[in-house]
Amino acid sequence: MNKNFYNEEESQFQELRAVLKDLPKINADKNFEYNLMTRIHNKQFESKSLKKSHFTLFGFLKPALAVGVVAIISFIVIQNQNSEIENPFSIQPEIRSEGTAENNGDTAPNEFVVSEKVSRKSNNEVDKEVSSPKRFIIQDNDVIAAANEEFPFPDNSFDLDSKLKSSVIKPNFYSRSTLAGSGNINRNSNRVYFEGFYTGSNTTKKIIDSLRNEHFKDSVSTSEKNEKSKR
Amino acid sequence: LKKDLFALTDEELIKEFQDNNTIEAYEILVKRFKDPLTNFVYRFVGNKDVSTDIVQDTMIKFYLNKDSYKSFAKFSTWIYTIAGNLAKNELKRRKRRTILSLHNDDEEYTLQIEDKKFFAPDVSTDSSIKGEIIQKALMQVKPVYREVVLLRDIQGFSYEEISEITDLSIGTVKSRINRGRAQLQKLLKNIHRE
Repeated sequence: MNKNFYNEEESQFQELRAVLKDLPKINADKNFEYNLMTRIHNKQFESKSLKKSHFTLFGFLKPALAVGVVAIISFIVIQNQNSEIENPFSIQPEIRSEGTAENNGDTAPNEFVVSEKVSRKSNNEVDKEVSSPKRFIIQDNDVIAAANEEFPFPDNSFDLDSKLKSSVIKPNFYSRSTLAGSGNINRNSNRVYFEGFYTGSNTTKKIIDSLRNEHFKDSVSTSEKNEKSKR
Repeated sequence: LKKDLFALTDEELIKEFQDNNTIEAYEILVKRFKDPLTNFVYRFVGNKDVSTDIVQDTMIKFYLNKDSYKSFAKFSTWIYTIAGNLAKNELKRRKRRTILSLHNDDEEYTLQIEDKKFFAPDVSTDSSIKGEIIQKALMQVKPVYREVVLLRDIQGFSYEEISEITDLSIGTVKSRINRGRAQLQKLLKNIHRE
């Protein structure tokens, strides 16, 4: 039964079987036996096929490891070289704060004053050349804006003595006598200065009246003087 | 004595070698099996040098492990089992190498077999080239099928013997042989036509 079954199966591939049977026979080498017996006598029993095609992952990765090691070494060497000698082409120039034109005063000034000579006709019909200074301001966007230069003195005449006197009398603004909250610390503004406390004394009506009378007399005398002077 | 040994069967020779450590018995067995084993291993791995090494290793294993042979089995099946296992190990090793390597040799075989214009008709009739084409086609067949087809159709073993060599059931052997033959026939279609 089995034999018939096999025969049926094999008749299907008769041609193929014939082709395979006709294949030339591969024989062992002539010195096969000699080599084998030599190995046995020398007790070389390690596998030849295993030895020949011994494949390990380490062996496969050997070239990659070598390349990796070389890359690491070269990277370290290049890094060290970079730290010693700087490539001038790869360095970003530093912004130097010293010696710039701005600090040396070589830059153009932001402000400059130009005095223009203007001829004016006075009451005497005589031409007078008056110089009026003009101040020019160079803004951030390089736009030049002109502004009239103010003369430091309000009038043509100036009382130098009073100016000097006022500067002498001028109190110390930062002293304790300056009243708090009395406005900006501006020399030109009218300030109220603290002059100290007065000690209180008992007054009588007589004293007050006498003071009033004195004051009244003074005011009358001054008004009379003024009228006379007017006349 | 040597003359007497030549007259002995394989099983008697190995018995002699096992019992008396007669090296002549071993040598006679080597002489008897070196060619069929080389043919089988070459058809299985597709490389002459590798197949020679595998057969040498098979004989060394036989020499070292003679006592592992049991008298109830046929010597031929036992020695073919050793050779088959070594050949399979070699193929596995090669497969691992192919996966990891960039170049795959099997691609060349596919191109050469399937391209009908590769060989001129008069050239393809030449037996040596035909043999080469068949060998390449055999290498395209899965190793599990290839092994049983070779044992059956080239080495001429019976299904029972193949079952013993491969340690498979007869049913599995039969189905594998059929699948292997079908694969091979598909690959060799153009040669059959010619």
